[in-house]
Amino acid sequence: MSIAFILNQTLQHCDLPPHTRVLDYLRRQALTAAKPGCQEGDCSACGVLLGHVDGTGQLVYQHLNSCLLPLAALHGKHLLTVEGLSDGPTPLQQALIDNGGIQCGYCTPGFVIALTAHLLNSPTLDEASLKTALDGNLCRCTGYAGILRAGAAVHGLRPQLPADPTQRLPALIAAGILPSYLQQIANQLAQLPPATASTSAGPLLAGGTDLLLRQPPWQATALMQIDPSLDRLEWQGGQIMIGAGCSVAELASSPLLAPHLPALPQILQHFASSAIRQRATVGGNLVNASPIADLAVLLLALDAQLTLRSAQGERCLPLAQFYRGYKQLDLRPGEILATIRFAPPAGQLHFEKVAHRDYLDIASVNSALLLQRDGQDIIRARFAAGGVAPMPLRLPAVEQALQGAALTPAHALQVAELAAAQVTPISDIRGSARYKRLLLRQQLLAALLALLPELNPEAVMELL
Amino acid sequence: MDETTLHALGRSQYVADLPLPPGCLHLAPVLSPLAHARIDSIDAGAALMLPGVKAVLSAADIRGENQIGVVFADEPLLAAGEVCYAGQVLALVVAETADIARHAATLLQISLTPLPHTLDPRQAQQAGALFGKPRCFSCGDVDAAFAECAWQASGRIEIGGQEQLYLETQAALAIPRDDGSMLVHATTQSPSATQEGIARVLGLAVHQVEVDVKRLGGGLVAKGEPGPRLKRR
Repeated sequence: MSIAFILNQTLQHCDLPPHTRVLDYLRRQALTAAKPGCQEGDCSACGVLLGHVDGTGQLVYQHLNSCLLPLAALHGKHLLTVEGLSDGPTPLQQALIDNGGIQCGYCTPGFVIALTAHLLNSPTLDEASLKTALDGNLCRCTGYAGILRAGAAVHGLRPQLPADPTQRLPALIAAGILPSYLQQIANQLAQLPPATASTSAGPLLAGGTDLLLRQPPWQATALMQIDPSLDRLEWQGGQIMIGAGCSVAELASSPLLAPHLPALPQILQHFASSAIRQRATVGGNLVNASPIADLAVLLLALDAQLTLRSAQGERCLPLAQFYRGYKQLDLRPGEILATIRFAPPAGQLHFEKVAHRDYLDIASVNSALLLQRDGQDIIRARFAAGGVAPMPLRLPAVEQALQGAALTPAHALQVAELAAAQVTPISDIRGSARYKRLLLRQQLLAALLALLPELNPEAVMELL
Repeated sequence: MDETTLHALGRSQYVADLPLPPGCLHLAPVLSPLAHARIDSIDAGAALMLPGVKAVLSAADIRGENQIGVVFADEPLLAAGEVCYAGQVLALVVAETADIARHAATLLQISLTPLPHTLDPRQAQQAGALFGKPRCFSCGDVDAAFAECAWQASGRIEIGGQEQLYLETQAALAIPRDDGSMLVHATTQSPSATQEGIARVLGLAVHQVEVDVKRLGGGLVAKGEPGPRLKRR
C-alpha cells in the first residue's frame, strides 16, 4: 500500500513498510532536525507535529514522538518538522535563543515542536499548562530554566490569540510562529487518496507506542485500519462505552467522562508523557497485557466489560477474565478488542502509582480503589492492582473485607496487610518482591485515607 | 549564522546527521550476555549467509593491537578468549544497512562457558579477583601533610558510580582515505585518545588517523573515554 501524505510543503507517496518509524524515514530524506535520543519515547528530541482535519473540518496538529510513530499513521495527514516551520528563527525559536534556552542544541528541535504545539493546543497558556506540554521533553544542559523563560516570553502572544485553541492557527501564522503555507494544507489533504487495507501479516498496531519498541524492528506488522466506531466515546444503554481506538489524551479531556471520573485528568498526567498520550490507545494498553498497565488497573476497579469482535460475531467478557497469565489473553485468533464498557461509578475512585519517577515512568506498583458508601458504611468496594502478579488483578478478598461498617484504623491496616499477603510480586528492576508488597499495603492505606475523611491519619500512622 | 541559531532551526549537524558517503557500511556489536565466561567459539556462518552482510569481525581479525585503554592499557576493543563483564563486545557485524547488521548480530552462534563472577568489589578484592594490579595515586607526602593538620576526621563513604546521561547517543563515521589513512567523525570528548586507540587497533601511525569532533549533543564527561561505547538493547 502506498502511504500518501504531505511532508512540510511537499506531497509524498511512500512505499516503505508501513511499520517503518517516521524518525528513520525522515533521516532517509536528509531531514535531521528530529533527533534520535532515547528512541523509546522518553526524551521527545524526535518530536514532530502531525496535522489532520478533524470531524468539524478544523486542521488540528498533535505533538508526537517520531520514534514511536509508524509511517502508516501519516496517511492522509500533514507531517510538519522543524525544517518546515520557517527559513529564519520564528519568534518562538528567537525566544529560546534570547532566554538561554539552548546549550548543546540536541534537544532544541524537540522543544521547538513541543512549545509550538503548546501555543496551538493548550486551552490555557500559563505556567502549569506549559510544564504539562513539556512533560515528555528532556534537556541535559540548560536546567530547563531558560526554556521555561522562553515559554513565558511567548505567552506574551496571548492577547493576539483566540482563547479557543481550534481558532488559533491563523493568529499563529500571522505571528510568524507557523508558516503561511498551512493555509492551503486542509485543501491539499482533502485531495489525497483514501487509505487501503493492509494485507501484511503480523500483530495489529493501534497507537504502537509499545509495539514499536520491540525488537526486531524488521518484522512485518499489519496496520489496524481504525474503524471510526472504534474511536468513539459515548453513552450506550446507560453505560459509558469507550472504543478501543480512543487515545489516552481523549480520555483525559472527555467531557462525557469528566463528571463521573473527575480525578481522571490528574491520574492520566502520570501515564507516559503528553506526546505519548496522544497516540497510545485504551485498547492497546489493555491488549498489550503489561502486568502494570495503568488503564487495566483503573478499568478493573470500574468493573469494565469488553466486547471482542471477529468475523464470526461479537462476545462479551469482563476485563477481569481477559487476563489469563503473563501476557496471556482470552483473545481468539482473528478476534480484536472493539469496545470497553462500564457503568458510571456510584462511588469515588482513587488511583495510586509509585514509580522511580513521578512522571513519564512505568509503575513499580499501581492500584485503584473504588468505594461506594451509605453514610459511613462501605456498601461496595472494588480494588485492583498492577505490578504484584503476572497480570493486573482484582483482589476480591480485599473487597469483601472492606465492605461493611465504617473502618477503624486497625481494620484499615488489617485489610491493607491482607492485600499485601494476597499478591505474588516478583523481584525485578522496579523493586524487590518485599518492597512491592509494602507498596501495595501503603497504597491501599493511602487510598483509604483519601476516600474516608473520618479515618484519622495519625491513628493509622501510630499502628505502623 | 551563529551556532545557537543553527540549533534553534534544527540545522546543526551532529555525527549521526552527517550525510553518509556512497557505499557506507553499518556496524552492529554482538554483546556478551554473561558477566564472566570463556569464549569457546564464535560461529558467524548463519549471519554471513544473510544478504547484505559483508563481514563479521572478532578479536582475531584485529591487525594491530587489541587495546583501547586510555590511562592504562587494560581494555581490549573486542573480547579475546574470555569475557569479563556483561555487555562486553564479542564481535562486530558489518552490513549494508543498520537493520541488516542488527538482524545478523542476533544470528551469531556463540558458545560460552560460564566462569564464576563476583559482583561486590570488596569480595573481589578479598578473593584477589582484580583486573591488573592495584595502583595508588598520590601527590606529595600525604602522612606528613595529615600530621600537620589542626583537625582530622575519618569515616567511610560508599559512592554508587553512575555515568551522566546525555541525549545524543554515541555514533562514529569512519571514512577510509586513498592513502590508507582514516578520517573519523566521533562523539567523543577525547579526540586525541580516540585517535591513538584507533591507530593502535589498526596498526597505523597516529598521524594517519584524523578524528574530528564538530559538536556534541551533550557529553558531560561521559563521552570522555574513546568513543563510542557500544551498547545494544
